[in-house]
Amino acid sequence: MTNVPPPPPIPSQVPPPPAPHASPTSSAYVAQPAPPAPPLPRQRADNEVLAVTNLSKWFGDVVAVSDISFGLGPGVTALLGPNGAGKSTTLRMIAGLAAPSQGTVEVFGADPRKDKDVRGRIGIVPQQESLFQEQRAIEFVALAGVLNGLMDPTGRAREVLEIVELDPADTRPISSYSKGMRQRVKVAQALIHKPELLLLDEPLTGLDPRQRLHMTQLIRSLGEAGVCVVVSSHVLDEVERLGSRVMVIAQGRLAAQGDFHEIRALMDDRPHRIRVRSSNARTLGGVLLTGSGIAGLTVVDGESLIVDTDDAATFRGTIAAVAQAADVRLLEVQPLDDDLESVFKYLVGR
Amino acid sequence: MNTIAAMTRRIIPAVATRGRIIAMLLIGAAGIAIGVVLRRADATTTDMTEFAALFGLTIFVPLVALVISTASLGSLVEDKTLVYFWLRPLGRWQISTASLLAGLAVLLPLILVPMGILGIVTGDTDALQGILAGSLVGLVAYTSVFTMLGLFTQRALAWGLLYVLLWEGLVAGFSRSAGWLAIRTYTDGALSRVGGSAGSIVDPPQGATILIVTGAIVVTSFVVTTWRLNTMTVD
Repeated sequence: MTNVPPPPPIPSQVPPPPAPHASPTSSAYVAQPAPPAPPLPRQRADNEVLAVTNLSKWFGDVVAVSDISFGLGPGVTALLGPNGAGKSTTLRMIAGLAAPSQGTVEVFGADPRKDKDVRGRIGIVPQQESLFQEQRAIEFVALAGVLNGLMDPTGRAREVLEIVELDPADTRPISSYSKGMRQRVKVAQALIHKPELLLLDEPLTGLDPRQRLHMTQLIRSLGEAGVCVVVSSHVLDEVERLGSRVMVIAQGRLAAQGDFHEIRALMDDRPHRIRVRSSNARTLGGVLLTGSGIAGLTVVDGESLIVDTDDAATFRGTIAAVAQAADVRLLEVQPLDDDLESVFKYLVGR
Repeated sequence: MNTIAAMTRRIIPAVATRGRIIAMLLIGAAGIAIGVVLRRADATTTDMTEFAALFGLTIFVPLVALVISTASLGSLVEDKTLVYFWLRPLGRWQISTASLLAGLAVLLPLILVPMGILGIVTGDTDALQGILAGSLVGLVAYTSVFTMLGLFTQRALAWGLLYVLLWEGLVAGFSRSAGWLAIRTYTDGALSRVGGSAGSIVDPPQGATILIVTGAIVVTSFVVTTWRLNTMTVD
């Protein structure tokens, strides 16, 4: 692997409109398959590893991925989205494990489903836990080396097992391993042939905090070494630690993409709904309405009111002083839509 | 070849589980026991050969091949480990070959040993050779077909059992034209041609026909399996 300069920034992209006849549901659009859309023009970078163009996947009437396009070069990119958003389906299409219903995936300019040489440049950590249970870790990983045509698969298997902090001499079968250990075995088999495109589907699942830190550092170092790493996650904090570019996928659509801090800001800048409990909701509500940054306010009962604000940070910083000035005792301030699901819904609905 | 051998070695333990092997050995032992009882009851060589054809070639060989071969690729699909073969820089035909070889490696002793013993029990060398020839044709043909079937459906055992019982066991026995589309015709044909006995069919196919049809079944199943591996969605 060679060091390459950091990838050019990804131009921000306006999310495409939903497919015709589509209506949003909790996790996917239920729609008739859309007719083929003309390809969106997308400028390709010189060091582009992966090019996804107008990619869609539907299962019967359920659209899992809807018309997404992006290109990636070396470095770490996180696919962020709630469970059922289409992240795994997208990763599987990138790896060639599933054929797109519409659109194309090119890895190093070729179709990974058809070009076996390209498959040899891809490493994948699938989400499912299943491994060859009765094998030892060294045997399982070495088998991956044999199938990738390595000269010394066992030697390399020892190296990658040590990289993921597993003992190559462990004689126990994989079936006796914990979830976290199995996860690391999966990562080891994906690394054995030094892939140039590494696809990791929820790779931190099952790892303890120390292992999470180690795995995060490993992923970052691979990205810095020039590997194109695509990591799927539904946990914002994980993505933050990867320090990566982020693509937010929600309801099968690419809702936003860019630097993590841009995405974080986008999430923070959206209107927030906050419930405030106090000794006198009517008085506090009246005072709040005289201030700025309040988009809406509902008094629920004598104690509770719900505030819609465009500037949640300022609101949280000033609410105590406002209440004190109004001689109202503040009991509780609780964000009602701070979970990722709400954020994703907002991004999709923009 | 190294990659095919590595995959074959990996598939064999997934296919030859203790439960499957014990169950199949018990069925084989039951057949042998019945053969011994028949022999002690002064059954003729023809009677013994017909029993070998009925029990061995019509029930035992396809059943054992079904249980083992459908698991060759089917177990990988079911436990979602096919991805660890599929996403390697290999031709799909290599995966097909490995799965076929794994099935054959397990089935060769599992079928030929009980059937050989059954042949010995007949007390006739020609019958023994015929039974082994018929078993070998069935082993290769059924293994190919059922390996392919395991890749198409997770209910391969049920579908395979329906095929064995209804088509091979019933329809092919009643209709001569349907019989030409049943593997049983060629296993019985091999028994008849090599062993010099009619087995359970009249006017068995020629030796060359048996070889050509068996080869065609193997090649067709192999091509379809490889095509399926190329086009399927892998979990």
